[in-house]
Amino acid sequence: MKAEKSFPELEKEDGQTVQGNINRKPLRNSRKGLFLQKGYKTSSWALILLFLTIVLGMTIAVVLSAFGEEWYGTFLPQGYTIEWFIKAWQAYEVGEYFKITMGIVLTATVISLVLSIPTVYILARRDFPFKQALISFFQLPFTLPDLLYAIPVASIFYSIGLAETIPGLIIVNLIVGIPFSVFILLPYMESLDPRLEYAATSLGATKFKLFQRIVLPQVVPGITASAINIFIRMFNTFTIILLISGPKTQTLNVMVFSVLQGSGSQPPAMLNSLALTLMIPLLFFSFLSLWVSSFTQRRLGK
Amino acid sequence: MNQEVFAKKRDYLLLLPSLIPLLLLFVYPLLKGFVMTFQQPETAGLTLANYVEFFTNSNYYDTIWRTLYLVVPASIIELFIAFGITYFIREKMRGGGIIAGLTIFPLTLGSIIVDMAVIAFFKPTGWFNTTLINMGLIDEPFTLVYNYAGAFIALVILGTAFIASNLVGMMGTIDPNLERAARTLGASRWVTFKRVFWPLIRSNVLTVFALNLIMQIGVYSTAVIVGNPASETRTFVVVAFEEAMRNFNYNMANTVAIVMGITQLLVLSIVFAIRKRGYIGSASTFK
Repeated sequence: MKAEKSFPELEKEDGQTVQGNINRKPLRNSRKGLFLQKGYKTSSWALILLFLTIVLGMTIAVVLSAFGEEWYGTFLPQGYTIEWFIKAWQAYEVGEYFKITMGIVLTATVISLVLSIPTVYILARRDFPFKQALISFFQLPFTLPDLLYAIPVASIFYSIGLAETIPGLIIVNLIVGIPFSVFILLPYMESLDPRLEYAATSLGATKFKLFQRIVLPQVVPGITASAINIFIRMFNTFTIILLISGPKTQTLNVMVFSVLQGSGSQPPAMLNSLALTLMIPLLFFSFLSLWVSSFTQRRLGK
Repeated sequence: MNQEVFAKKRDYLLLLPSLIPLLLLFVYPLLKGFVMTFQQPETAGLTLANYVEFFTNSNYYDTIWRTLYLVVPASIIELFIAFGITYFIREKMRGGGIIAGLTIFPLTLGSIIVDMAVIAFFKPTGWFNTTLINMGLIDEPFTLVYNYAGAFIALVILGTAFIASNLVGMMGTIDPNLERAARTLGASRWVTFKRVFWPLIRSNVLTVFALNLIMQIGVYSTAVIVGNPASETRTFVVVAFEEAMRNFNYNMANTVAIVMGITQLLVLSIVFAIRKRGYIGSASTFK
């Protein structure tokens, strides 16, 4: 309103709002406009700096604390050491849990891929009634809050004796794994051109040749990338594992969480190094997935 | 392009390997869980006793209020921070990619590490408090961990990262020509934002906001590690886990879970009712 007042002769002419907006054009060059623009820029930078300072500050603080020798009252730790990691890994048998977790997650990834690939193929290549409804059904397990099925699953598993066992943990991972692999493999399968298969058949390829020379080379990169994603996803499964895990049968992140939840007496540096341990496998698999995707892109020349 | 063939009977068999495990592990427990809330641990018949207990015992019904009091203000703040940052770096500027990357970075850390990092940074002897004391702004350190504030900060950091990660892509899909057109026709920056940009991105922003909100209503590890799960941050999931793992009362635990699900649905329907009252559709015309 005030901006319009500085142009009284224009304000008289227009009655419409649209016209009014055009008349505000000189605002950009007026002193008030510059002031507002500066204010917007300054406050945005202030917001960005504040948020990023906190994010960086807390990340550096937790890393320094995990690698620091003695840190009390000073700005930086007295010295640096990896002793806390060694202590934490020995005290909580990180290696053992890491092996258990890898075993569970790898098995569950393979099983969910094997079970979901036929479904994905049918969903991508065939048409049938309620197909869309079925696809939405496959997305249900990771759109609903996991607590809703996790608690009854835990009670069922305890009553049939599957809880606190390794097969039990593998089976519950399938609730996450199957829908997720359908979800990420489906767009990939749909993007494959079926005409290549028709062409190969018409040129006289046998079923085996077709699979070996046409289907497999197209599918392998996508499945590898999906497998890594499913793996990372399962590595982070938390709620349901926490509910059915036993003292010796739990995954790494559930173990770390239980330790952090229960021990106020441990030195914080040791707890921080234990928490940071969770980063290592995830970083490794993120790099692996980047490498695989760039490798396959090079191979396919896309 | 893809020539779809109508399914033969044999093809349906290929759906079974993935459908059967899901029916057994997901649909059946879901239904059983719903029935469980109408049962008591020992007796057989159906009863409303669990729900009556939930809504009459303040130990339970307080969780609704406590969860919403923690999560709703946090998600509104997250939306403002994430929108402010992503909108500002949307224009071509140096360092925009780095800012976006760092804003999203906490998502890669995951909830547990962010919780520990918040403790390391905001504890009484942490950098936040010592800096303020050295600057002479405060005498006593703030108590920002193991209480409401701690959980709030951790939630804001994770939620901002989540919302920003979605907004970066969404803002990219909006055709900049629309804004350029408005600007050449003489609209100011603010009017362009209000009349052109915001109406186009509004529905997407509200969807992400709703997703983030229902995700955070299920907050657990943050509430336990940086919060005070005994009182201030006793959220739905904390109570549900306590019932399931300490009291082995799966019926009550699932009642809490169902009430949580209903709360999430209500929140979702409110946000979508707001969303419906505006333009919903494509924003990438004339590209």
